[in-house]
Amino acid sequence: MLSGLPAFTGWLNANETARMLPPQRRIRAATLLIAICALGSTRALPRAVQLSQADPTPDATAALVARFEAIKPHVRKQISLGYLSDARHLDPRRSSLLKRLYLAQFALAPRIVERTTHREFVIFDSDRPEVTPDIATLEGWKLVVDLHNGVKLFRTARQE
Amino acid sequence: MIGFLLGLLLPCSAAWLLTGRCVPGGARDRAALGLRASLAVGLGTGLSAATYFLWTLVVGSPGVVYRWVELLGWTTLIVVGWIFRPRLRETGEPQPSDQSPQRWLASALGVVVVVAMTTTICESIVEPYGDWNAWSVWNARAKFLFLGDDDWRRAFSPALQHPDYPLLLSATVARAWTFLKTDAAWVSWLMGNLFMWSAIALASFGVARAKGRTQGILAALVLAGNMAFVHSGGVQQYADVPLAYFMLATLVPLTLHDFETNPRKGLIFLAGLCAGLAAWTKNEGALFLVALFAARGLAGVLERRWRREARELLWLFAGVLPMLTILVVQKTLLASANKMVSEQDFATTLRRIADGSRHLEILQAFDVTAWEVAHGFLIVLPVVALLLGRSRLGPLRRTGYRTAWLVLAFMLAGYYCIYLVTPYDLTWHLQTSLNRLLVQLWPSGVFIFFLAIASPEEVLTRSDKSHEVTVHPSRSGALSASTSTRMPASV
Repeated sequence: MLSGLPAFTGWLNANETARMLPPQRRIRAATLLIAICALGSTRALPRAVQLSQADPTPDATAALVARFEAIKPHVRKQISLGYLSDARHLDPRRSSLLKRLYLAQFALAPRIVERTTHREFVIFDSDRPEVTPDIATLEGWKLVVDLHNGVKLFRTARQE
Repeated sequence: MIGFLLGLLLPCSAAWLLTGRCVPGGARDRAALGLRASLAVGLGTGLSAATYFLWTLVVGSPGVVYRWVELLGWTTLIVVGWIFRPRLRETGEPQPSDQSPQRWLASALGVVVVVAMTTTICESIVEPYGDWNAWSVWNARAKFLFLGDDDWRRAFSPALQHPDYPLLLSATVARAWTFLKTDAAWVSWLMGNLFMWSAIALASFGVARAKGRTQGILAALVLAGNMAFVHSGGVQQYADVPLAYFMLATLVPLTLHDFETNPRKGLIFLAGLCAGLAAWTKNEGALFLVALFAARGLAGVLERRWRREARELLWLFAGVLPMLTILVVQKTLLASANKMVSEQDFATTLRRIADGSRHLEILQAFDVTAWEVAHGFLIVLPVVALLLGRSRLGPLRRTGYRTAWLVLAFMLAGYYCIYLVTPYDLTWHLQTSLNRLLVQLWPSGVFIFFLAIASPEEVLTRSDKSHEVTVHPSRSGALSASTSTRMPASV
C-alpha cells in the first residue's frame, strides 16, 4: 500500500514541473504527442492493402460460405440439418472444425445446422472431395448431392 | 435501394428532431449540431430496430405492409416534429481568434480518418462477413429474422450460439435487409461502420460542446487513431462497438446536462433512452444499466442533492423504460437461459471467488489487454494529462463528471466479477473476450479523460489569470469554480 506513495508524490512533482513550462509549449507538446500516436495507426494501411490484393485462401470465410450455400436449393428452409466433418484431429475449441460448423449455420440460415448425425439430412464436410464417411455406408445413407468441393448432403433413414 | 435509404434516413431524421428538443444550442452552433447528428444516427437505428422486432413479434414476418407502415409512421413523426420544432437562435458563439493549432490538428484528424476508412475497407474485402461472432451470432440471427418467415423464432433455438443475447444489432441488420429485399453482406458492414464513426463523432462533439473545439478534435484523434477500436467496429462487425456507442450516448447527454447553465430534462431522458438501447444490444448493457443508476445515485449522495437527484433518476428511468420493456419481453418470451447464470452453483462460485490464482490471472489479463487495446495511448494520455493538468470543474459540473467515471469504474469492477465466477475455462474466456469488453469502454473512457483534463483554451486562460490573481485555487474547488471559465459552446 505504502509502496505506491513515492510514485504518487513523484506524479505530483512531475505535475508541478510540467506547470513550470510555458503554457504554449505544453499545449504544443500535448497536441503533438496525441497527433503522432494517432498517425502511428496509419502503419496498418500497407498491410491491409497488401492483404486485399492477395488471392483468397480456400479457408477464407467468404470461400467457405459460398461452399455451403450451394446446398440451399436441396433442402427446405424450415429444417434442422446434421453436420459431420472428418476434421476430428483439429482442436475442437477455436478450430477450423467449429469455424466451418458455424459458417455452415450462417450460410444455410434459417435452416438450423447441428453437430449431430441424428437428422433427416446430414452435411458431410471434408477437405478431400473423394472421401465418403464410413457411417454413410454402414447406415445406408443416400447421397442427395455431391458438390465436388468436399461438401456432400446425405439423407438418412430418419424422418422429420 | 431507395427503400433502403429511406428506411435508414427517416428514423434518423425523426431522431434528429427529437434531439433538437433536448440538446440546447443555436442554429450555427456546430458542436451542438454535430452532437445531435451523431446521437440521431444511433437513436434512429436503434429505435427502428425496436419497431421491427415489435412488428415481427405482434404481426409476423415483416413484408410489404411493414415497409409502408414504417415509412409512413416515420414520415408522420418527422412532419409533426418539424411543425413543433423549437426555433433555434441564428446566433453562434464567436470563433477563437487563433485557430492555427486547430487547423493542423484538423488536418491530422483528416489523414487519420481517411487512412482508418481505407484500412477498414481493405480488410473488409478480405473478410466481408466480419469476424467469428459476426457470422456465428449476430448476422446469423439477422438471417433467421429476415429469411425465417413465420419460423423466425428459431433464431432463439438452443442449437444456435448464444440464443439469449439481446437483439438490437441483428434486428438492425434484418430490418435493413427487409428494405433492401436481399441479405447483402455489405449491410452489416455498413451498420458496424455507422456505429463506429458515430461514436467517434459523438465523443468529439460531446467534448467540443463541454470543453471547446481543440479538445474535441483531440478526442476524435485518439479514437480514430486507435486501430483496436476501428478494427472492432469497422471490420469485425461485432456488437461491442454499437454497445460502446450507446454507453457513450448515455454518458454524453448526462454529463452535458450538468455542464449546461440551463439544463433541459430532455437530456436525461435521452440518456435513459440510450442506456435502454445499450441493454438491448448486449448482455453487458444490463450491467451498464445497474452501474448507471448506482453511479448517478452515488454521485447525488456525494453532492448531497437528494431531491433533485431523485427527480433526475425518475427522468432517467422514464427514458430507460421503453427499451427495458422490450428486453424483458425478449428474455421472457423468446430467449433461453444464459449459461453464465444457469451454470452457477453456490459452493462452486464461492470456491472460485476464494481462489487467489484466479484473481491474479484476471489482473494480469487486464494489464496485458489494456496495452493491446489502448496501444501507445496508454503512455501518451498520462503524459498529456501531466502537460495540460486537471480541469477545474464547478460543483454542478462535477456531478456529471463523477457519474461518468463512477459508471466506468463500476463496469470494470463488474467485468472483473464476471470473470471471477465464470463457469467457462478462465484463460480461454479472458483470451476470447476481454479485449472486446475493454473496447466497449474505450470511447467513454476517452470522453471522460478529455473532460477531466484542462483544454488548451483553459490552460491559456488559466495562465492569463495567474498573472492577474496571485491566490492559488483551493483544493475544495471553491475558487476554481469561480475562476473557471465556460468554454465557447460553439466550434
